[in-house]
Amino acid sequence: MAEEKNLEDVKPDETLDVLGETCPIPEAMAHKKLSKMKVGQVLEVYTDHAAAVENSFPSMLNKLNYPYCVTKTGPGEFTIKIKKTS
Amino acid sequence: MNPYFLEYTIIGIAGLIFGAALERGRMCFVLATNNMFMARDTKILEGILWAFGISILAFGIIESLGIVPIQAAVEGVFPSGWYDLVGALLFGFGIGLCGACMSGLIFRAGSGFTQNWMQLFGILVGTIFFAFFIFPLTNFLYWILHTIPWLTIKPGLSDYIPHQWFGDAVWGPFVVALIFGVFFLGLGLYLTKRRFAKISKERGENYKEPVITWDMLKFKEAYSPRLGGLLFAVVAIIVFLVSYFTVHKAAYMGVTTPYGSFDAYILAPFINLFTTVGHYKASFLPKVSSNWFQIVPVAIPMTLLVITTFAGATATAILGGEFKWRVPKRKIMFLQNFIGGILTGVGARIALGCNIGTLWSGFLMFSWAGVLFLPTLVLGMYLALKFQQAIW
Repeated sequence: MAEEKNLEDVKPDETLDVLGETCPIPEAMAHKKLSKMKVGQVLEVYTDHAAAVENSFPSMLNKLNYPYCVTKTGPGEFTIKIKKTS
Repeated sequence: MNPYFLEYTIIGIAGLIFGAALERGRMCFVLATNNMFMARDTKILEGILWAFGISILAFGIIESLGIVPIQAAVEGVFPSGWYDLVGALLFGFGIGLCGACMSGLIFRAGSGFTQNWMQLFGILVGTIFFAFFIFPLTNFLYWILHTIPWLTIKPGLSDYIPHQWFGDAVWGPFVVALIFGVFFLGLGLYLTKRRFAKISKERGENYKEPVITWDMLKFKEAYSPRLGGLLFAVVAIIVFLVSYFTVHKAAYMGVTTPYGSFDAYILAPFINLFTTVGHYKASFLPKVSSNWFQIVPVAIPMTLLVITTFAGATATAILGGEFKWRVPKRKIMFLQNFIGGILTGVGARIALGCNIGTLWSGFLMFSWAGVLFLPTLVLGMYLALKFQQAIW
């Protein structure tokens, strides 16, 4: 599942602020939160762990087959929008 | 030129390169393991495998050609034994809790992650705790070699695999390097090819990753695993050769001992408080007073290397526009990192080193230390990952 830019303007149903935290917390907490959400809902994750944005998030979301969109919001700071599709 | 000045200068520069490779290559053993277990992503692991493979082959060639004679190379080979397994388990769990290995914490702290500064503080506390409360005023290395020498291989030639397998044959190091080096490089190459194939399938086009680009050289882009791995290997080779050709004592990479040195600097004014108790004082005081943490001189080139590694990682984070002081919203992460740091420090002392000094350098020494350290390190990190998935 490649990155989907059309998620950029979608209003999130849930948010997760893991700024300042390193692996595996951002991915693990996002995974847990997604598992509790309903199909079709969107999760917005705030993280500044660049290595997670570059590697673990894309791999995890590709494995789950969830579309996502990454936006750089500041120096080393990112917002990831993820849509739960199954 | 003064050989010591030359050694410290070149090793200082090597530290800057090491810091850049760590930060730009995201070379962290915990990140590599977590990505593999959580997302089946091997990108970071590939960099580590490349680093191990290239450096092991280089060390084998250097020793077999006699550029650094075997007699000099084995001087730094430390003993291996049961304590590698025990220490690596504690260490692995500790770094897993902190989300950063002993070297990975340098680039995280250097990028402004305050929770990893707390991890460093925990490591310093753990080292002191080990030195004064678990093994008060004695030398752990002396203890394992003389008090309970079972399941321990003595240092030097005794723990040098080429000597165990091929006696004094000069080609011994090269053959052993070929076995371990080809294994690591082969695995790295296989995982890289598999990852490319997977991405190609997902994108419906032939995916390839450049080894090096202008943006990587300008620090604007993260390094490819192959570039990060190559730089890692180059630093270990520089340190080994420079230390041999300047002060004639071939040195292997290490991070744990310098952390002990930082402790020694901080506590130096209070040394009398710590050296006036314990029945070991009478027999060991001359050694203890020279160094409280395993009888290693405080001012060693590796201490400078760690300091310049911090500087290198911070510099590339700034140049790459990624430096920022980052404070976790959940303050409990400071406690988790402090506890993880203590376990990291104690585990590294028990195993006589960390993922750099015992694991990587263990393979570079062609000793059994790396082989023993690896399985329980991975187990410790895996348990920490499962623990965190359960509680958070």
